[in-house]
Amino acid sequence: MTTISEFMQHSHRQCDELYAAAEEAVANQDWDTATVGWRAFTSEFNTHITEREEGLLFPALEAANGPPGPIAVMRGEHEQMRALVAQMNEALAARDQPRFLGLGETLMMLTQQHNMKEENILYPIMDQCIANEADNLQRS
Amino acid sequence: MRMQGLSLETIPPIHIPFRFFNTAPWMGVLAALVLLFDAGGAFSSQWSPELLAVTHLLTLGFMAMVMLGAMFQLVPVISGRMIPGGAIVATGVHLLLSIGVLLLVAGFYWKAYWLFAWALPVLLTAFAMFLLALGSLLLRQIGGGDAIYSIRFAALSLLITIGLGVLRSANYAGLMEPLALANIANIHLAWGLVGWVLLLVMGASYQVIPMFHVTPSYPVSLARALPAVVFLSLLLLSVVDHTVVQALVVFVLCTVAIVYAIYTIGLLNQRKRKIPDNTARFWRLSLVCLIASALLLAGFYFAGHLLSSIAIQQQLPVIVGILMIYGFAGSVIMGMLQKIVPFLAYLHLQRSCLSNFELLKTLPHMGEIIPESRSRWQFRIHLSALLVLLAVLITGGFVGPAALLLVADFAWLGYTLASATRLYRNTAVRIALTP
Repeated sequence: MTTISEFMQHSHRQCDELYAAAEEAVANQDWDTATVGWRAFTSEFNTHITEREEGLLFPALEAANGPPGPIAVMRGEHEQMRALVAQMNEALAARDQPRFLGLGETLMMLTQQHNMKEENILYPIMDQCIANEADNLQRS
Repeated sequence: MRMQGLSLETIPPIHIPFRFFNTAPWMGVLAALVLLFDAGGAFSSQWSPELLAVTHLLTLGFMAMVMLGAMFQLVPVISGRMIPGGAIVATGVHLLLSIGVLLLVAGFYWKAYWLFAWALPVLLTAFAMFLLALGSLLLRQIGGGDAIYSIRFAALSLLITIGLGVLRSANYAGLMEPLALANIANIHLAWGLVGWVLLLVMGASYQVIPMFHVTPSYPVSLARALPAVVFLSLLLLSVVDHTVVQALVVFVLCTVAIVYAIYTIGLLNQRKRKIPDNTARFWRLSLVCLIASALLLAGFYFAGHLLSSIAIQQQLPVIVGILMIYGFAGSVIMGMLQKIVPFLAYLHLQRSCLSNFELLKTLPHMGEIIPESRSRWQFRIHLSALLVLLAVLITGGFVGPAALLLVADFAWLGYTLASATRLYRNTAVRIALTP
């Protein structure tokens, strides 16, 4: 059976790949591919942070007396990422390549250090405390 | 799972890393100026006082300055704990390190070895403060995985390097009888360049290569074996004075360096993001320099006696030193600063206005804090300076152009970082004034 860690780490890698494809298209000024690719990324991004984490895993962990501090910090970082994604939506619509890539660099660095904390600390705690949620994840 | 006191939001105030980062390039400029005005005398021998002045400006003034600043930033973030003493310790370490380096270098340059009696206590206090503050974090059971594992060995190596440096300089200053151990300077060099620098770069790369460049991670077994082997080999080199052991250690260290470099280049080639990236360029250059210095060192050690020319025999260690210090460590540092500085600036600005989306939209993004074109020029200047410097050493040509390129390289970095800091400050003031 797939654990929460395995499932969510795989989802992180998927987001990375989708992001890299969209970014490459923007770098090549291929705006049609970029728009499709960016939509694919934002959809996976929203499913991951809004539905799976904030909608399912975080509340379950809190109900199981999980650590409140780190969860609050993760929520805060999600807000920071959402703000960047919203700005990148605008940059893409305006076909502002330097702005999109500059914001994207920032989003990537923020995301990677965020993922590392989740993968090293938060997901292993989830595997211990709320292992049964793994089934719900796969059904989501 | 240890959760007590663990915070995922330990970000030190920005002035801590930035004061170190903004000082370091100007120490590099000073090193380049010493070369320029000395016009080649420095390269006459690996141990000429002028070259020792240049070396210590680069290793302590530039490298250690950035690395200490980065560790004050990195260790709290990856371990999830604040450094005890925080801003006061960091400010003190920065001030003492700056003064200590200048005193030490002045002592070398003007052969005023009595200055060491002042430089030593100042530098010792700086490093003691740093190691005590950080050591208390590093010795505790903290997170951080492979990066912290390697950084621990790096910190220990720094301690040993300093200890040996103190013995040497006390000897210079006439405070102490010369030690029987004749190759103490070589061991100091090995601990400094291989123990502290290589292990710290390794530890940092375990964290930042997958993170900045979106590559696969290093396998845990390799990530842990490499620093442990390096550290144990250096210990063996220091305590056993036997030619067979020495040969074995040189072979092992060169192999580890090459394995690490090739593996890391392989990781970089697998990066998912395909857009051109200046930091990745700096990493590749630096790893190529590491391979080159390992091959040259091994060649010199095992086949140096075959070289007929005494001149080449004297130049080779200097070339290896330049490849390690300026080519390997210098390139990594320059490349990482191109990303770390704009990221930190953006992160701190974003946090100060997260609830105000209209204000958020007016923040300069990373590409504005350090423009891509400026990083690209940094790489070009750095690569030219390195190549011209190596050419001067190999051909015995005039050192002037190489020294000028070195001045340009470090001054360009200093200007880039100062502009980024100014943009950060102006924006922070603008945010504070917005109702």
